[in-house]
Amino acid sequence: MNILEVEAVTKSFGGLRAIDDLSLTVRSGQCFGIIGANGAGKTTLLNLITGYASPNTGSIRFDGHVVTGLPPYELCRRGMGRSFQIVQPFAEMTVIDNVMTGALYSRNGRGRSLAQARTVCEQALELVGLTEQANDLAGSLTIGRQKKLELARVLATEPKLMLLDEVMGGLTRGEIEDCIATLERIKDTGATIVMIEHHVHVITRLCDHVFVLDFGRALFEGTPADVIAHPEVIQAYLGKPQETQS
Amino acid sequence: MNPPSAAAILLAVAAAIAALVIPFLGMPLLTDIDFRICALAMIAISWNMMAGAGLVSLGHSAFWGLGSYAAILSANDLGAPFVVSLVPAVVAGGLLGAGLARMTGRLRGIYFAISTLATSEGLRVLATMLPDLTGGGNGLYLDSTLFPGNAAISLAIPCGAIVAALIAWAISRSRYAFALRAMRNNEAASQMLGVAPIRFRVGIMAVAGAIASLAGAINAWHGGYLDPGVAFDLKTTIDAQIAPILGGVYTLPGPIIGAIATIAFEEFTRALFGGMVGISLLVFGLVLVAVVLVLPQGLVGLLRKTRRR
Repeated sequence: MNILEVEAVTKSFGGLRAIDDLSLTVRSGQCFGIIGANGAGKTTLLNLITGYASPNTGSIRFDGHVVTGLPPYELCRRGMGRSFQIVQPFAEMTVIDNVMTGALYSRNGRGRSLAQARTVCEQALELVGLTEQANDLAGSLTIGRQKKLELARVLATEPKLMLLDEVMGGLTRGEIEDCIATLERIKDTGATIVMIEHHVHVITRLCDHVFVLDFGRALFEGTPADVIAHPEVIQAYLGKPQETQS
Repeated sequence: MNPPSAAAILLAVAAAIAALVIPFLGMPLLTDIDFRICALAMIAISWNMMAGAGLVSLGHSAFWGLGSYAAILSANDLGAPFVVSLVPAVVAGGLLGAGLARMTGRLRGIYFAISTLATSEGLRVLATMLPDLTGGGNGLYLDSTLFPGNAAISLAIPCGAIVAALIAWAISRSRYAFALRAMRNNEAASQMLGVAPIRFRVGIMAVAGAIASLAGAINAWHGGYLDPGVAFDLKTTIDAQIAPILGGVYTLPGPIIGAIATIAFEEFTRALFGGMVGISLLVFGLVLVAVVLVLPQGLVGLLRKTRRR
């Protein structure tokens, strides 16, 4: 079953087509990687899917329904979860209270008591490894832990589809290994994940499908092995080899 | 949020009892101070409630003034007795809050603040332009045959303050507190967790508006006279934020401690420099600046810090 269908979506900022007639399909249970050079339109695409921006043309279907133009909170309640590339912690709240907000207002949150929500949050913090920091202020965490908090907040909303915008950006090597392990555990629970990622080894370890974005258009898509072998992808990332440039 | 300590609960109950008992002690000066503290505490709690959701108000005199007019007009024109006249005031304040939330939509920070300021100025001009209803610039006296007596009014204000404090406490213990605090910290990100900001904005502004209106209404009965300048006085707006900032913004006891400190300090400087016009205000202003610079967390922050040591 297709959980997400983006159909012929275009988004322009003035004269710039940040997303240009783009279509993609994510199946349930997939780990779908999106790569592309800086400015390729990855975050804009995520903003369109999660309702932070509306496409000029095209439609977006989520879980069988057209959701184009719906606000983020409505999409969250329908089962979309998203982490932000630039971390957006509620700095004056404790780590657990940050996560509590997600557990209380997402799709399963309404009938939940505070105690039930707390249990959900403790599991989410356990999964990302922030149990010991539960009562620290979110603003006092290191950037690596703030990234984990982003992930925990997404998990607490119990999404059908998780959209992760560079959760590994700015992390140290060791933290990346931790994060990959965490995402593998999340994958094992049957989650559907769309992830934007710069680290190729992360993509090859986690994703079963990779979508390459270049200037707002689809450049190529396929398995991770196909993608890293594809000459156009190499070219988009690294430029042409010198001998063929003349 | 941690549960309050036994000492804090005891102190709160003692303060509530004191506020209720003072009007019956037969000491007019103390009763007057009690009245002013409770009225200020109500608008401070109301202001702090909105600030806690990221909504900084520069228009609390709008709620206060609307409540004043709603109470006095329903008394004078419809013959409503004191307690009954408070009902239209609370309703009007709630509706103004909800309507303002709807109209300001997604405005944040300074843009939201300016729109609340414009609302209160707009209402003041409107009151001046409707002389048939409000008496215009000449003002309006309360029908003295309806006056319920000083005791009723002096008792009503601590009751109002206690109710306001209990509402603020109930909200802080509820699930709504998580959404409101998330909105204050980052309204855009809170939406991805399922929080619909407009719903909470309408809700919290309706409650805050009703509380500030109720304070204005009781105060109008206390004063017995209204004109647009008195009702929609900018000083009300300023007082409503000075008290919570002095006491500690975003905290439960902050607005109440701030209200007590503000009135106590006003009395103190008046007693000290009462002969010299303006000096007491100048000193008050300087102390306020010093407090904001030295104690950004207010008096509550100071108490917490000393307790931790």
